[in-house]
Amino acid sequence: MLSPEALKKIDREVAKFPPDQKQSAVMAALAVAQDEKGWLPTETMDFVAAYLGMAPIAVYEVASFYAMYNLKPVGRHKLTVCTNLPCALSGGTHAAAHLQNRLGIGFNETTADGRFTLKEGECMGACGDAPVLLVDNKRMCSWMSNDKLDKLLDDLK
Amino acid sequence: MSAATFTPMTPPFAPGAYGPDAQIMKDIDGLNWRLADYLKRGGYDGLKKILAENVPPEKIIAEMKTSALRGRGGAGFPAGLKWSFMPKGYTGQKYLVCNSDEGEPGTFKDRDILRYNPHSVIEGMAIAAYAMGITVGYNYIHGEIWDTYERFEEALDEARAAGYLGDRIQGSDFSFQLHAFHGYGAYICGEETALLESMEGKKGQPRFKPPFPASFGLYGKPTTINNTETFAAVPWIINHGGEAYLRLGKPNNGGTKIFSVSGDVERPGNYEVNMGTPFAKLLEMAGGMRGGRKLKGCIPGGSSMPVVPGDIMMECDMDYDSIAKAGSMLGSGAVIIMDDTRCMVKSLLRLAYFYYEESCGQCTPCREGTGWLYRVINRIEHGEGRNEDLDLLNSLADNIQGRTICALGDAAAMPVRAFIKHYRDEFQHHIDHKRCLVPVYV
Amino acid sequence: MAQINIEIDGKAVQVPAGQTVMDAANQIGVYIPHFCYHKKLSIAANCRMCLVQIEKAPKPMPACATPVAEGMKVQTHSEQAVTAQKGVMEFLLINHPLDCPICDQGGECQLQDLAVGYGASASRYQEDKRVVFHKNVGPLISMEEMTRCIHCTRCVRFGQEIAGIMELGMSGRGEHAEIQSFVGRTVDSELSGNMIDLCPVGALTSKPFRYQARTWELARRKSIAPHDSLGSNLVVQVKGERVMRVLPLENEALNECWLSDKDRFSYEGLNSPDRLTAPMLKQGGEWKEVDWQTALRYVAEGLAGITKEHGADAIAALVSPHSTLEEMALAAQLVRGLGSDNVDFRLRQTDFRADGKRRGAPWLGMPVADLNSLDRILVVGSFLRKDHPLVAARLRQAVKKGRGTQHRPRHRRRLADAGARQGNRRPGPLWRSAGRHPRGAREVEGRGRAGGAGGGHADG
Repeated sequence: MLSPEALKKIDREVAKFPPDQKQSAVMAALAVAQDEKGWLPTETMDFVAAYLGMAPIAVYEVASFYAMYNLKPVGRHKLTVCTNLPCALSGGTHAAAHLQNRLGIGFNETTADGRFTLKEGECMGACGDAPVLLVDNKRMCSWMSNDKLDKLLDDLK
Repeated sequence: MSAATFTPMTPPFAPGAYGPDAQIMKDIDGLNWRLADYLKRGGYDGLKKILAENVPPEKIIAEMKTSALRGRGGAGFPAGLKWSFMPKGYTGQKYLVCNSDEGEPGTFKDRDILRYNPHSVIEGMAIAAYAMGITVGYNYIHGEIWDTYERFEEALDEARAAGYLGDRIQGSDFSFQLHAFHGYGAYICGEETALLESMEGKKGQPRFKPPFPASFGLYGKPTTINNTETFAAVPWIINHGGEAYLRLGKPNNGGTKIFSVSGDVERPGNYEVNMGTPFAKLLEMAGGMRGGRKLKGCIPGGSSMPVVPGDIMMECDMDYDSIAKAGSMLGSGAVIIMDDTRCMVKSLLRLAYFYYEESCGQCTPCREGTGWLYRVINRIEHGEGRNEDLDLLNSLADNIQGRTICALGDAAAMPVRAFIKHYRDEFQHHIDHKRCLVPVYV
Repeated sequence: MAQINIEIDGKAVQVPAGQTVMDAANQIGVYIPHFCYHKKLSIAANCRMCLVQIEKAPKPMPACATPVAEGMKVQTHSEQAVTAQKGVMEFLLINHPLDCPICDQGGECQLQDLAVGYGASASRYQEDKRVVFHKNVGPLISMEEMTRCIHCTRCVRFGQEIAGIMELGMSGRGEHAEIQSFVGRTVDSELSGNMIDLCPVGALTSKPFRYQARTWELARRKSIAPHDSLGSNLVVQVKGERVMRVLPLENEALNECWLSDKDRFSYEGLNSPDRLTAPMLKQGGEWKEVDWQTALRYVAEGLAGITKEHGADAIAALVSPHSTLEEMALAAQLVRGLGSDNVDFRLRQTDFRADGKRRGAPWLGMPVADLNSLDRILVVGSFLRKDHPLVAARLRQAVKKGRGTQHRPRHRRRLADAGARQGNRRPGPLWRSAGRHPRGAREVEGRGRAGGAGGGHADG
């Protein structure tokens, strides 16, 4: 279900915990699985459950609780913009509006060409860098003026 | 409002970027995060000294108590006292956990510590583990700062390779295994028992206390949890003594504190100042009010804390006790600045939305109440407010605060009360005139 | 254990240390409103309905999760307590559909009952209510109206802790949290019907009983479970001549407050059109319905014919072991009256060499309730979960208790080994399964993990 490289990454996480606490690695395992699949289809969650010896519904509870897991397919790139108060005070909402205009979509929507999904994020712990956005959960982009946003969109194929 | 009217703080920083008082962030230039740099700054001296001299653990805890270091995550609980709660003579596994799940709106200090000075946290945790007889630790890092998580993993590798972590550290009998753990987007996991649940591979739903983590923590074992900044302060205390640390600040408010200043200032960012520094000075360090405008309000401790009107704030010192006197809390040290162009209804609406989104859904008052608060504020903001709405909001806040398992309920209720208390006219204006009192919107 | 003196609503009560305010209140018959609390489940403290005032506490405390302390003074009906309880009730009702007239739970609904005492006549909530999509989890539990759910998580905890298999969970978070199975799966636990009883509202209801009758229309008859070989106590609820549903009757010594699905839902067979309700005779290869007189005459003549031709010894009767003692006694009387001694009920036994050698009636050797505290168990040739679901539930508790005092990972490995290797190793310290169903050992321990949401007590 997952590639040997992905399993190796998961095993490395499992090794951090006591042998009878494999479940502790479920968040990491789901993140690894999502990196590989782009989102978390049912059979992937099933696989993770079996791999870690968990009830599938327990895996689903986790996947649906934490905001960064994609339970539905997303575009090639997921852009998550923080619009929380500290960010909003420094242009976060304007950055979000600019992206919505440029991409022609609202939050939780995907562009017709399947390139971008736009998400509204909650605090990322980087309020000093506002406006901030996350690309594909992993890459934090700071001080995103409209020019920088335009350039980012052009760079992300 | 256009985004940045200042030069972004990108590495390498000029010396003293975090302010002249800086201790944890002293001489940090954004690039010198590696082990070799840390050692040059005297890093791991404290740990080495403890191990070489076989310092009794009680002595370290006593030093921590003297320092009056209070938890930097938000609750401000004395760190030395917390360490002394770990059961003595317990022979089973105990755990040490660092709470780096920094997601309180306005707070971004732990991220800077972890990416620019990660070894201070590793050394602080190792010392804490030694003092409490703990052999395994984890650092739970906010999922959104992935590059920081990866950097911390790298720092761990460096520390292991150099014998500052792992078996028989520096040839002593002390062993300590430390691992990094990442969240994946849940504010509630900053609550320490939710964080433990999350680490056990479950939803981050806070546990009812008692039992407290010191007796029933990770995997049901005795566990101590401290914030990143708390651990980062430990090496300094060991090197200079608790007394010296206390003197940096004020009685009962020892040491320095990193304040994350955000919002309407010229230079948003982290500034490390001695406890008790006047707010006006901190504001000045952050470049003053953006565009020279007037300070309307300030949330001095992260979004969960009550807002304080500008004139009161300008007279306030930045320490736990002074801010409490001003009617708020120091919390995590996130200072959110709002100038006189800001609509307080809209500001509160955004915060209310946050708590509505982040409630874990476990307790009835928070699960149902945060959504209700949001909807009422939303209708006021959109010109559909009713005369009874402000009383309704206060009543709902009453029914949430103090009625839930964890403090998220309180965190959702307190801002509502404070915003209405201090800016009632503005809310009433929205209800009466169906529009905003201030011309420029957030 | 040390005794603690506390006072509840002015009444003094002495309870063992470690108990909760709720336990103490139950002991003296003081009712504290609650939803998530259940005496057989772990403490979740999530509904917040049981908030009470405790002297010196800065805020109301949940009775279900607050341990007693010496000299504690509790008030369950003070202004502070009632304000808190009413506040919680208001929150519970804002998103509840209040569709009692069309709800199967009506008349036996905890929310409905408590809303009478703690709810307001009109709501201050004017916004749109939440709508939760219905789920299909199989033929027994109806989850058609999940909007009614109040998120007490009793059903989830039951799966984790009693049934030993986690099939329901609470997905999502905040206002969007909902109870569900894993993406479209059914609930297959052989104890699943108990979740219907546990649900304090009309979210989880009985599918076969759906829209069949109101609780107040039903007459109650106490009875004994025919299928779980434990004699679980139950209540047969009838309307007119028809059995409408079967519920457990609490008996701590046997079934506690649970009932297996086969005993709970088998009543449907009574009303089945396939059921044999009139005598039939096969004539010319075809079954024909006849009256009783004809049928009995046919049987009597047949038996008389056999006796005459082959002797009475050629007659034998095998009685279903599901029959009652009275039915068996009558059958024995009949066969012996015909002059034969060939009567038995042991349909699945082939070796009778022990007959006459063993004294007394064969039995378990201990009270059923003692199963919970065994420290070694040898299971031979049984798939416990399916064969004796409530015995399995008790053994699960024994396994859980064992965890507290002995090292758990070794147990887990040995449990698995015991099943997988079937006797290639020394007996494990706690559990051993032998014979036809090696899977039984693992299944009874439960694949779903215990100790889920919130709460939790030190494991010693």
